[in-house]
Amino acid sequence: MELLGYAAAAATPYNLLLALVGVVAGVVLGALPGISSTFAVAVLLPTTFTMEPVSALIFLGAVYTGSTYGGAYSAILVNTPGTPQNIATTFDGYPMARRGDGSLAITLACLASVVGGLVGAIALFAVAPPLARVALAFGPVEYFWLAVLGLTMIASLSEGNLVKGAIAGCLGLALSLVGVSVVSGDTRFVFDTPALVGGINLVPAVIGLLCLPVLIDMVAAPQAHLRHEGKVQGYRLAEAAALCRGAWGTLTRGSLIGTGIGILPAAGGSIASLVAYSETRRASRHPQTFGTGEPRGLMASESANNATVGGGLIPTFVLGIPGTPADAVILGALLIHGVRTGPALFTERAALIYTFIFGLFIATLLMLPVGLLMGRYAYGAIVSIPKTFLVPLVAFFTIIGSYAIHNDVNDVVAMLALGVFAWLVGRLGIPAAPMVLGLLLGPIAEQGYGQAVIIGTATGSVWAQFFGRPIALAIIALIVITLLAPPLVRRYLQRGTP
Amino acid sequence: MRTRTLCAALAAAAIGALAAAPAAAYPDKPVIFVVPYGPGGPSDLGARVMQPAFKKATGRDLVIQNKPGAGGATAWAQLNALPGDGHTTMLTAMPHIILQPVVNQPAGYETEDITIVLVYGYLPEVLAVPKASKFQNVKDLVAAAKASPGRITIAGTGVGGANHAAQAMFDRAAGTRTAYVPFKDTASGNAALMGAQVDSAWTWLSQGITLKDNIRMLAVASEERVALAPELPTLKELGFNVTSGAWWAVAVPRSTPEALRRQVSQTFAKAVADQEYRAKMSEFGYVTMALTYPEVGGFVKKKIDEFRPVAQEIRAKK
Repeated sequence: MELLGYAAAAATPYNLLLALVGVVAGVVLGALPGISSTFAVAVLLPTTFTMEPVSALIFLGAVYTGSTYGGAYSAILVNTPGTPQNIATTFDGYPMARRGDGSLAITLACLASVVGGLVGAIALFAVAPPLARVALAFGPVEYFWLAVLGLTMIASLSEGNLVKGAIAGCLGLALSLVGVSVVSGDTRFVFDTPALVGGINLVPAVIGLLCLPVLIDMVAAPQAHLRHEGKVQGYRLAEAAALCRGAWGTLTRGSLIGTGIGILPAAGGSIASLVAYSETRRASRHPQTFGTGEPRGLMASESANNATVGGGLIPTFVLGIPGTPADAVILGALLIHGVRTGPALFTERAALIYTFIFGLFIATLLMLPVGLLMGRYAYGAIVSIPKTFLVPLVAFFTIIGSYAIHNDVNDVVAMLALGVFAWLVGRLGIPAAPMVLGLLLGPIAEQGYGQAVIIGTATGSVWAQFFGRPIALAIIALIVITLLAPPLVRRYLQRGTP
Repeated sequence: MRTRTLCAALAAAAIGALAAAPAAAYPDKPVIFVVPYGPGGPSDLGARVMQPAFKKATGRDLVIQNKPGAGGATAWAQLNALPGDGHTTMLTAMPHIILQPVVNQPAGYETEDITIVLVYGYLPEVLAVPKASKFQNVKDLVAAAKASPGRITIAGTGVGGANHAAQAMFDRAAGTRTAYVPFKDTASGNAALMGAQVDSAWTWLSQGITLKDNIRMLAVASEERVALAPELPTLKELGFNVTSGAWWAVAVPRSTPEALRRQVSQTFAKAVADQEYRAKMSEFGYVTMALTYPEVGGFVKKKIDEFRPVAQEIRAKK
């Protein structure tokens, strides 16, 4: 009965309005390359100081979930993840848009995001305190292996030319070494340039690596940016719904992986969507279609990243440790509003927490109409604007986005340099996506490795650290399966056919 | 907000280029406060709580720009390239700016490059263990560390940060050798502590209080006991001469004229005197203070004398 009261409290006109405004603002900010969810939530944080704590939380939660979905627009339409959580969305979303299925891709992303968001929120609602313990079972060595699991995706992303994919992955890892090392404190590869001391920032680098080559090709090729038939098609909702019904396994897997990885404080939405993508591809009977516009790849990525919203809030509320960078800001909002985190939050402050969770449900559901409507306009705009306007417009946003994240012109320089580099090596057949993976996962692998070696040395056995812990062993098993299963399955299938 | 930040930056740059003469009424436009860490961290939150207090005190907005990287070094290395018009300020932290140039060579700046106009806050460090740890007090921990040198792991944020300095100072004071495990940020180090992946950790009083369900503070490294946890002994009273923490300060580019430096100092001092700001900050475990421009020099010199030898010690061990 109490729960009904909380639901009613979440559905007051004021809170509904906040959820709506939050989702709309989130989608818009998320769609702009360079404006990450963290940035969007942080910028809007001061507007919540005067609100009631629960309204502030609902608003920020809506912004967070909205921006995680909004980032799919630019990922699908111009191959630029709007937020780092949408990196894996580019792998199949952009090829779909290229072949004329852009509106379908955006509708699918919306449905998958809503499903993922609901699953994450249900986990937060029902099983938060026990799940939070999982976060604590993950030590440095588990993060190391998780990053290695993510890196195995390089193999799947470069089917057909493993060597070139591996070269790209190594280039990304090399880029991740620049700057002060967290574990050793050494300053590496900065060439006496102060701007490099902090390392290469992920957001501008991703914009450069993924979007700039697309822009250059848009100028170089005469045909339209995205293929589309005559007038802009509608939402293609029925088609998308049918695809979702046929892929409930993909959506479930994506949502559960997203929730699970969201709980891990040092991982986050970008890794969740990458792992979900990789696992979906591995489980697929036709993995070769991934990377060429496979709707399931898109659904896996988009369901996983929105599931991290609810998943990431679990350690935030129960432990006081943010699950994702955006959760750090939400945790800050809790502190500013004088709300103490901890398991007691779910009992002593039940009204606050459950009202917020209902608010998150509402915001996630609002994403359906809002997302479909805004997605249609985003798609319509991108396909109908002539290329002569589209190219400068997107170029402008890549520069503004790279600059805005840290107000640093060096980030713009890095974005441009990496973009031109990615285009050049792209001509040699070296793909950009593995570089992004290397850059994203390199630091996590390196830090986990360094910390595990220090702890292993202190406790007497480095080997026991790396190979003597159950969760680590489970991840190692997944790595082995991911690497070995596809060639073995292929060989088995080939044996059957003459 | 973003556009406003941009406009403010452009306007600041333009005005800075023309003339950096002190304006009659300072501040006469929004003041930029560069935070050298990402959103959501303790420094960022403190600055965001200051925003309404600053507005109340001056009628102008305090615009926060996050410029994270290399534990703050990225931003501090760029400080003197910013316009010295008084409307461009930066958060800086001691002992970080004393440690980094020695430990992480090249850090991109020297301690003396940073012009501090106001020291406005202090956050004490605490020594903590997981809730279920067998170490009930500092004595237990020291005994274990002495019994098996190099076997006790102790987490902290980064290499050459305040946590690392505290670990080095404590090892020296206690005559122990502990294994320092650096983490990328406070949250991941704290998660490792809560999950007992490490035996102990140096962290902040604010974390020790919010995470008290899962960790146990053994001692605080402040001069006196703290109001939020009066039962917690200081390391000093336990016989270890270690005082450490983070001292927050407002810095300006070197090109900022003397008169304007004083104005910036007084303006921020007025903002941090706000009752609501002070109440919020002390709730988190922060000590609000206001050492204005004339008093800053002596304080910074004292901190350099305290922490530079520690930095050299860390450097030598690397």
